[in-house]
Amino acid sequence: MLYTARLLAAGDAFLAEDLVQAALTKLYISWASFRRADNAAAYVRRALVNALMDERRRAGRFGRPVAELPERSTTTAVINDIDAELVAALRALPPRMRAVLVFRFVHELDVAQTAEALRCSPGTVKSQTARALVKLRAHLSFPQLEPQGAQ
Amino acid sequence: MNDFRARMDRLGGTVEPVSEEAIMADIARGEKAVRQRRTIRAVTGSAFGVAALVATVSLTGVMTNGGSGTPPASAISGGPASTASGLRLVDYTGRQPEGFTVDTVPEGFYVQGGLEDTLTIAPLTPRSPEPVVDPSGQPSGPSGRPAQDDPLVLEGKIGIYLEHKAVFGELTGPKLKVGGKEAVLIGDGAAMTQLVIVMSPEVYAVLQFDVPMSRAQMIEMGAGLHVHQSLIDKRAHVFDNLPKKD
Repeated sequence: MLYTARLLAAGDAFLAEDLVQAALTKLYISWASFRRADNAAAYVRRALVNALMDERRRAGRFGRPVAELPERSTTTAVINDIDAELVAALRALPPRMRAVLVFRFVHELDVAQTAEALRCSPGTVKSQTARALVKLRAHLSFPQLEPQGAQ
Repeated sequence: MNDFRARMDRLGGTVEPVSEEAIMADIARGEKAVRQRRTIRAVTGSAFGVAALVATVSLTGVMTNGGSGTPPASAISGGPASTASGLRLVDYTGRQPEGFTVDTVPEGFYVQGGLEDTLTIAPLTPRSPEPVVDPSGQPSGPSGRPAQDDPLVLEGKIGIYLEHKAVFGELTGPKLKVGGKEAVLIGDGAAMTQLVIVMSPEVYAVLQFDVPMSRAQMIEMGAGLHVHQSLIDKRAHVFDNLPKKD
């Protein structure tokens, strides 16, 4: 979960830990539903994505107001050995588009599996994939890329 | 793996294996935090407010369908009653929760539900058809329901849960017998009180009372709580399947 969360969080390790904690909390509360789920892995992926969406809604466009200056997270800037170009490219993507990339290109899920994980239609997965790749190419230089299990 | 995937994999990083000791410490810390949270919620709750409410509602012990909102099944009032501060115990004849058998509940209370090896017994509260306050301002529990309906909230209720001895620690204080089992009573009854019953060498059943009941009533209710052996065994072995070090 932590590995996937780090990718969904575009390299923000602190946010990734928060996402995992939020997802595990949801799983605990909904344990009966989780046990009945046909696809436990998809359920967990969905929980992570929902946690990311919740976090984005809470943070708001201009960030959360806080009583004290927050400790500077080193992952909001460039840290040693982090692929800054990749981080910037991923952060330019909306969360759902980022999730499509992670599930299709890293976890190598096919369109149907990705649609199940994101609770959307296969058509949406395909269009999100295409748009994500266009945005990525604007930030990264890599050869023509096809996801595994492309339909 | 192409360059993009390799870069993504590096970004995801490695997840360092966690030692068995760290996992056990985390579990113990989490369960302690849950216990403390329940204690704080119970102590800051309005036990006397609950007593006043229950005294005005002449209902018998009933059970809902796990808090799903279906009408409660009726139960028969009667049976042994213990007199104390406005509450009396009645025989519980509603549907039994999974893993437990409950003999008595305070009059006006019902089995609200729980998770795994936990159980919450809560007062039935009458619902006004026209609320005079904005219900969106009502405090909600961790499951999102109003606190009074949330089995995860133990304020003003009776919480029952199994605890591993490794997490709870040795029982200290005067020992008593509850239903033939060794037990201790923690608290003076004025605020939150816990009745801890030894179910097995590794497992305790904790009854946490945030309602005004006498010592005798708490003991009677504890004696009438029967936990199925499968739940006790499961709690006893909760630390068994931790991943081993490579």
